[in-house]
Amino acid sequence: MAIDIANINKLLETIITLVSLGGRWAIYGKELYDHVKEQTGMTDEELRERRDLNLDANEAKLLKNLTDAGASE
Amino acid sequence: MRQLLTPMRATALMVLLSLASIGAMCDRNKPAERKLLEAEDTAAKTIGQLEKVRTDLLNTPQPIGIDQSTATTIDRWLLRVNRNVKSVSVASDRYAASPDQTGLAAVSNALREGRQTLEDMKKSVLDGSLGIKNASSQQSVISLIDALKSVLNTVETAVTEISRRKP
Repeated sequence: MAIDIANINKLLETIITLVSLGGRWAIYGKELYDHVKEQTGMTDEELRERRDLNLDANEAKLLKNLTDAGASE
Repeated sequence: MRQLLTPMRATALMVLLSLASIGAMCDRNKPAERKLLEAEDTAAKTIGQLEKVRTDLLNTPQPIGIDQSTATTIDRWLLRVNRNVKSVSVASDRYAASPDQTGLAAVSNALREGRQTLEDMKKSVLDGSLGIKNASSQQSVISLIDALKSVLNTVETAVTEISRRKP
């Protein structure tokens, strides 16, 4: 059975294109999933609490850094 | 082969375009209050990332890393930035709950102070006075400062949306 090189090249090109598209779809799908999960899975109040907790955690960490270094604000 | 696979490529593209449009619609339909909270949460996380960069640099040998004195200076800057973002979040919470001119002015003032702090910090990184000598390390810090500035712009846009909607 004769093998047509041109057809193999086309087949490889197509496989690469599909794998690339599949990869991009997977990445975008994950981002979209996270976005929708955050949209639906967290109320505004919960998000507000998380924001405040993150800000408080930053402040505590930075103050600890200063204290550990024997420095003042 | 081409004729057989063209519809498959077209289908894959259609799926991508559909997902992109769903994502765009989700973002456009998000209320301004939600955008505000998400932006402020992102700002808090970005400050956390900056603190992590500072700690990583402190644990890296010089000349790429930083000394304790520089780390302490960065801590003081970040404390200021964090308090600025706190002021923005307090002012924006009040404004979102009860929009009036006084509340809008409070948010604007907090945003201005936040931007000024970030700009001053960026200058001190660029002119070397902060003590970060390595160009790549400087760039890491600058990128996060720019990300914070961008987040403050998002906060301002969301507040403007609220101000247009509610008299």
